[in-house]
Amino acid sequence: MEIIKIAWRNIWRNKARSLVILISVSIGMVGGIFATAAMIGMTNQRIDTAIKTEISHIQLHNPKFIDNQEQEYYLENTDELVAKISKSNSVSAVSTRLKISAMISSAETASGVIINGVVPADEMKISNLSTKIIEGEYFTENKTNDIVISQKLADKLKLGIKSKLVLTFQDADGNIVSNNYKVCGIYRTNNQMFDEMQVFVKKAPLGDICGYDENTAQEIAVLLNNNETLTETEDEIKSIVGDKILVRSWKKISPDLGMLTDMMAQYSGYILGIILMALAFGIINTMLMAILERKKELGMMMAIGMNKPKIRAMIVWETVFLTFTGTIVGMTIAQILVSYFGKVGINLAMYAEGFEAVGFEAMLYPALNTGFYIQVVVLTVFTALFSAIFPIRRAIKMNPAEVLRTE
Amino acid sequence: MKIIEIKNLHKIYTETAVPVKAVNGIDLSFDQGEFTAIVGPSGSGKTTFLNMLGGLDKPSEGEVIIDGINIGSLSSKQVIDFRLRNIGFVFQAYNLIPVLTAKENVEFIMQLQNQDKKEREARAIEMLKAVGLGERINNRPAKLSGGEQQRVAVARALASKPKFILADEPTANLDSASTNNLLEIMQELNKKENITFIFSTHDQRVVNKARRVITIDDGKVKTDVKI
Repeated sequence: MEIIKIAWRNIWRNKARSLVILISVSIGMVGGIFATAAMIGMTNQRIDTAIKTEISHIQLHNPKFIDNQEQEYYLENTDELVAKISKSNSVSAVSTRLKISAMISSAETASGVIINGVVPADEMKISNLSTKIIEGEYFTENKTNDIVISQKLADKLKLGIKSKLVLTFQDADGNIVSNNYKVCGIYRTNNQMFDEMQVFVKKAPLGDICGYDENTAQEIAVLLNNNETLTETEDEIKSIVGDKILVRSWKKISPDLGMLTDMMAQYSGYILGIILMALAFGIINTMLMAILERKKELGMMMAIGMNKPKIRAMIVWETVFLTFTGTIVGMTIAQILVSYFGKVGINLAMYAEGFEAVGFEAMLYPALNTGFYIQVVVLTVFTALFSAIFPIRRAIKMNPAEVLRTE
Repeated sequence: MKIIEIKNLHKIYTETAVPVKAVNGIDLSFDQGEFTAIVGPSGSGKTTFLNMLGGLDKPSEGEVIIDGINIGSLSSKQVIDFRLRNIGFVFQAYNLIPVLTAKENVEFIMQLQNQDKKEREARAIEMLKAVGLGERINNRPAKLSGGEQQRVAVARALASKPKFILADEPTANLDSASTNNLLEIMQELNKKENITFIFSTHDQRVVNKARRVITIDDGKVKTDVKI
């Protein structure tokens, strides 16, 4: 097509001017895409941590437990429930937990915690907490009074490996009981709030102290093969366990995380939109200048028989080339940066305390999916079309007889 | 055979504080194969007259009938298409598309006419050879002299197989050698192919070659001499 050829060559008539706009578009794209990748990466990491360390994909509870967090609202016959849930193809692992509020005391001080009574072998399939052990080990065989606590709690209570501590809590009948534990492992996650509250002991001995049989639990955690099947599997589990058991996905358990995902998607759209809008005005300016400079030439083209749709097409192509060349260069550079930093990460150690206080990691791994790039391309098409409107109006309003009248 | 008939043609510009009568009642006709120069002082109405003849401007009154069609009755879209298929243009300057080569410039008009690629390539080369630019088909306008650029414009005007060619001061920016060369080429095409040329010009060399000279002043035909 001659029109496309002319349009492509036209944008290189004033190389310096076109390069300035191309570089602006490229830099804008790199900035917008990389900032979005950083936000999405941060969100993904937070969600990943929440799923793999704190929540799992889906949790099952006695509906009353959610309101009061009282241990008397437990689930029974968990062996049957686990067997049924495990049959789902989307389910990767299932683990049962006793969840009991307690007071943890060392020789130095005391603090409120939540005891997680877990089956270590099951829990290791569902949670990566065992990989977060920085000292000691994730439970030892045959010992019934092992406890895994966080580094933050250990520091607060001035405890170390093999230190003894006392947990005080209520049993199933409401009696206050105390039990001695020995620290076998110290963990550290990137969520200080989680670290401060959660301690882990073996489920069976805790159940014996409280008076629960082995098929009783306050919580069943379910890990899926991937997050894509979250909603369907949540519905499937609901149909398996019936309406007397509350089934919730991580988005409902932690709505802030669900909201974070939506918010980040919106923010990335806004950032990109603002960048493209700013670029659009640069492109409009460049194109208007180009049209004014070529007034007589356009007049000649119209005079010899080039109709308005063809003039329009030529300007649209010029705008598209100008916008897309910069976009493609920008997207390529951004993709290289996202891939590189997605592997090596961006170390934000100097802000670690602040990030970890709200559950984010100080090592940031930018991430983007193909969908985002498609979104960028679609937005760029709209930007190019929008930017072409004003130059087109200016061009097709021209009267060839007037513009050709020599000065 | 008459190909153009002009009846009581008027053009009044009303945008100015005082309305300006640029063309004030012209009646003319042109036959196939004419080689006509329209002369007159600056502001006499030559260019306005030529613009109306080429459908670039609408008359305030009167008719321009080309091959039986009153172009004033056509819609703006139809006029553009009519120009494309019936009228060849050679302007004083800004004749060519700077980003296209000589051959591509000539081909361009045929592409607008939706001609087949092979056909238009062959015709572009043929037309460029006819104006003596067979060796320079791949040069862009910036690499051609002013005279060569005007010859490309003539080749382009001819390529679309128009009924006539309108040339608005085609030699205004050319030196003597280029002017003579261009005029000889146009004269030859006029004689051999019977192509109608209508010029507006100030240039006596063009007038000397013309076989009909129409003098316009104050928007009216003062003299119409066939030589």
